[in-house]
Amino acid sequence: MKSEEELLVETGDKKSSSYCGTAVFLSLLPLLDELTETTIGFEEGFGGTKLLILRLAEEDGKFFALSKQKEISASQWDELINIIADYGEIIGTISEILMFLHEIEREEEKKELTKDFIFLSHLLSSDLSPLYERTDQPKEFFSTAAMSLAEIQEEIQ
Amino acid sequence: MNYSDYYKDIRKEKTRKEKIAIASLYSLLPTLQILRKLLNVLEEGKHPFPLSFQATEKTEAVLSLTDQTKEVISRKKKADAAFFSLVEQAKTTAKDAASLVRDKGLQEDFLWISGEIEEIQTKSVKVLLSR
Repeated sequence: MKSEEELLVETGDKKSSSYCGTAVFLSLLPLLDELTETTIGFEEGFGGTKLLILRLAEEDGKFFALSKQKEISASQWDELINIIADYGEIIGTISEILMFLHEIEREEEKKELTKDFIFLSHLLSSDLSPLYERTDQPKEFFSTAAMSLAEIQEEIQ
Repeated sequence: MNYSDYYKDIRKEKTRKEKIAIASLYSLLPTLQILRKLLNVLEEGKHPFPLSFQATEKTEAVLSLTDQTKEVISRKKKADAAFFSLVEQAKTTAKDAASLVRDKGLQEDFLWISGEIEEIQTKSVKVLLSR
């Protein structure tokens, strides 16, 4: 897995497929570090989130590049489905962090994280739309995409 | 301002408000990096987004967009809306974080990053409207 700094350098590379999603994932890291530093129990509750974010920062460019392809092979669909599942997982985790921040009355961080949550939720919906328009999806795509979108719905409700 | 200084900077700050401000400041760097890349690609006459990329109407409603950004979106350049949403989000974050700090050095960093973001927004809107 690439480091934060490697990913940051890559985002500026014109040849890389990293765009808005990668930027938002990387933007989450300083906020998570701040919360880890200042909040008792945060590391114990959400310690694995950083690794998931780093993985997604790398995967988001792949998601974007694959979704633009005319033909997607079976192994590439598997890769896409795993990325969509990771998206669902991070959206669910951010929802939990938002609830936690609400409970401990950390409104400043909650406000920042809410902006990223909204952005990522819309980005996932937007990234999924060209995939829904295709006709070659394996059936696992529909169930995984539906589960990831359900994470957004739960938070909105 | 260097991304690798983040961990050093956040640990030397004493109050939580300052730590939040530092985190917000550094969280703008990846966005700035992407915005610069997008502007470069646009200036080269290319467009990085696929045609089917759909911006969401909700994004427009949630974020308070500037008139220039609204103009781009209203011209059905939906593919660019995610980019502009990111710009608006970065500007709000910079403004919010700037209000939390008293340190002059940090305030200068905020002014610099806000200025860079504004400049990229103005230039890219110009490029998009000229197409």
